[in-house]
Amino acid sequence: VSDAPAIERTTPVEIGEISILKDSVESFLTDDRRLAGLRESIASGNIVVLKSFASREEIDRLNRYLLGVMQTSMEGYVPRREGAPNHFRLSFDDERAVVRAWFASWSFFPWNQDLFSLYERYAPVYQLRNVLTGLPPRTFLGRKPEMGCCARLAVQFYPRGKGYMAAHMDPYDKHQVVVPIMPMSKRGLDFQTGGSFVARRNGERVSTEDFVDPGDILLFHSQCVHGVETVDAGHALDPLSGAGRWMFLFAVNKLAGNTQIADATMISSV
Amino acid sequence: VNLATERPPPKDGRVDVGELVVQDASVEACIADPKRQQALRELLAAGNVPVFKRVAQERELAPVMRHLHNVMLSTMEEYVPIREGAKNYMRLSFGDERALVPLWGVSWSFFSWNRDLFNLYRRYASIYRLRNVLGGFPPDTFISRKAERGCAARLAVHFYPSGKGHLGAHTDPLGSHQVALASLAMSRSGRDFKTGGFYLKRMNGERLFVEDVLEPGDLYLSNPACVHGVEVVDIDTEYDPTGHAGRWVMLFPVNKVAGNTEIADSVSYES
Repeated sequence: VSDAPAIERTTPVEIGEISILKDSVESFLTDDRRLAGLRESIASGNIVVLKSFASREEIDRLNRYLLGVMQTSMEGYVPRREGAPNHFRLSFDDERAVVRAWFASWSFFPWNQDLFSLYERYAPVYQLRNVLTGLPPRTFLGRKPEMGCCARLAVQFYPRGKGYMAAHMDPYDKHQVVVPIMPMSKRGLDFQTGGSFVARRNGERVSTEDFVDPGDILLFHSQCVHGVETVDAGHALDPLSGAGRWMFLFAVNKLAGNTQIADATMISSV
Repeated sequence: VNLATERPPPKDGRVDVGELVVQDASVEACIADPKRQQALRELLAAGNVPVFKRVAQERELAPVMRHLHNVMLSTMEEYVPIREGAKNYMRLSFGDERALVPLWGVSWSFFSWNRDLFNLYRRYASIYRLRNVLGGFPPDTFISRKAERGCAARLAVHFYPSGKGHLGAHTDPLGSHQVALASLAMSRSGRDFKTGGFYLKRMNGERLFVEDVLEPGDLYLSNPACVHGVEVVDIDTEYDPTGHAGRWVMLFPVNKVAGNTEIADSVSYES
């Protein structure tokens, strides 16, 4: 990818500043200069927040639906292959995971349909992700995988008392330079302690929770070390409750069997 | 009334739309009476719409809709090819460009080899039997535990949500497996939805909104070669993806199983 900054793929990117912008996601898709500035900012390790992409009301409606799915269905492993169904998954400290974590997730692929037409609603976020990576805006948004990868729009739920994700870096490759996420919960309201962080090379953790509101888009370099500190540590886990931290992840993942793209890397020193 | 000779089918295969004709005999009486069957065949061939009143009670349809709405709110859809042994499933069709006919709706499909909470194949077997005898088949064809003649019964409930639900104008494949489309109204036009809904389109462009004069539980038959569709339901209402409001209908199709190329697909008349 010609526009992607050349970096050593195993070295963490040192985090810079948290930059809160009022510009819309769409405004970067039509302004090359603005896009170049954003790309440069992310490449230098800044964490960029684009305010108010989604409303709290639409987020809560989606949350209620997904919680209903969790409470009435049994999870199933679904390999990432063309045509894979949307699915619900539990990751409860499974020792087989590349990155240790405790969360529930719902995954949506662009070849399926869903009640909220999520790929239509959140297409601008994927388009921004693509152009920041140097790819045509609609890459991965068609009905088929591309470049051995597929879009996987995922909602993650980190339940109060247990939810966490260990510090890690995501792959940096032709499919991915930046990782966009969208918080769906607010610390201080939906949970009290823990939540999303990024980490400096010296191991210092910087929480991002105080800078974001539900519906904001948070962009950071895939090689920034990041994770989720245990949400409301010390509280008893209620397996049926929806209390905790929710977020959207706009992922592009390699398909099962693709060995050309690396896995995420857990950083145990952070 | 034999209108067949008065309304010959046009050369492109479409059949013009006649009138609603309320039947004085029950579905069961028609299954048992070849003369009544012949009269129905003639009505259908002429594009008329035979109506059977009160085939189901509204109070038995409400829990079915409640159950299916709960399924919609608690599951993620999954594509299931129509094959012998396929499981019952829910499907979302939200403006998917891959669909043969433009569509926004939710459907739940039931196969005769599966079971369901409401024993739908037992409860509504007579509707399939009527369809079968009209097509010249033994009454119980397609409703056994196996696919037959490359086809399978697929009892389906369709939900067209207020604000978005629609189905483009089209005709369905006409053949001995399907001489009539059978539809059981589950909603009341004017109460459960205000505007839009199912229509049959006459050659002169006029649309006959059949369910405007029907009640939940009424069954109507129509010729698959009559152009039909669903006008956007409650077009001025804000769409709620988790809502229940809109048009519900139970259908009794027989579909070709995956790989059967002998039966045609639906033909869109949107253009």
